[in-house]
Amino acid sequence: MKPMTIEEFELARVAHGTDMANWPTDVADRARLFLKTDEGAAFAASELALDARLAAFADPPGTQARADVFLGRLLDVPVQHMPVQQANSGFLSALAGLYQDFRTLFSPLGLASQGVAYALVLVVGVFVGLQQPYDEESSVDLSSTLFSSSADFYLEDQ
Amino acid sequence: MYCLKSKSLRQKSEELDDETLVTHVAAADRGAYAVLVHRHGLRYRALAYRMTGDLALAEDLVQEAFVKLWTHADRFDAAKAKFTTWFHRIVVNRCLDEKRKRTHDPLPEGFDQEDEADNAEETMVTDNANRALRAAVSRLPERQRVAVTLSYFDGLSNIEAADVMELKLKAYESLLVRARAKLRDELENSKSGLLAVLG
Repeated sequence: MKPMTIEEFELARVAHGTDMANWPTDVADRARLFLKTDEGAAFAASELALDARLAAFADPPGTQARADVFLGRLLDVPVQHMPVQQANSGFLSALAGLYQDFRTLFSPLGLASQGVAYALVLVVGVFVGLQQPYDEESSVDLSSTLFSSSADFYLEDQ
Repeated sequence: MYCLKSKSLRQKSEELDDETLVTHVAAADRGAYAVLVHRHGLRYRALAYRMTGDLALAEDLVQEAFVKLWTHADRFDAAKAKFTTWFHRIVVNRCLDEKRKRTHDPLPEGFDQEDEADNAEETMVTDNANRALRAAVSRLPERQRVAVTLSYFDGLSNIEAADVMELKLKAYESLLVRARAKLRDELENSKSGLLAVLG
């Protein structure tokens, strides 16, 4: 079995963690071979030293009192800021909404949908009109009283 | 009355997970917001401090992030990411923006303050070690610095950190390997430099 290279060993540590017991068996076996070499032992020591330094990196400076003040600042956020949904419920946002509606109304999509709605109403109207039976008795020919011919005048003179 | 009400609400909210709490925050629930502050406020302050090296700036940036949480909680989509992943992204991106704005890195806060504690010598050794490490981390390329901060200082798993950085797991692990190698070199160089100065 071929031992690992430094790069492979480091990638394995990053991928599987520092505890080799959690590594896949074949990877761990190759790593153990690598660690038996002088290069491997030296590298493992430097890795452990780096891990220890990273683990010992202290928390931010400052007292608990300062941390409490900071948390207080965060807790005050709702007092000083309004959620966007609530901020948008005012008169100005209503106006903005109208403006938005106006723009939408005359957009290509808006115009197209209005055209479709108009045609639909027209078709429904014609359809409803066609459903009405034609009633001849109830119809009145108004034109008979509105129009007269010159023959009527002659008849009156006689 | 208000206090009692908010206290009982808070006790109830403390049992909820982060994602549910954010949906309550989106409905302007201050109790849910307070629970998130107590649960995560100091953690993100530490994260921002490690990325900026300036506590006052870190506090301002995290406060901005919490303002965003309060005002835009409705933008959070629990189906897409965990709350912590989403919020990490907000804090990390805000820190990176701020770092890019600044042309130089200021010295860490409290750099030259006199330490009057009984164990001042021990504290000084720890401070020096921290300072060397922070300096080495600050010299890393931006993405490597973020990866080291998320994995080693903030304790995220590789999967979570990769998610925050919007990287594939393998790509994230390679990034972390490069960061570690560079960090080790930086620390080794600074140690050799110090030994050379001391003669």
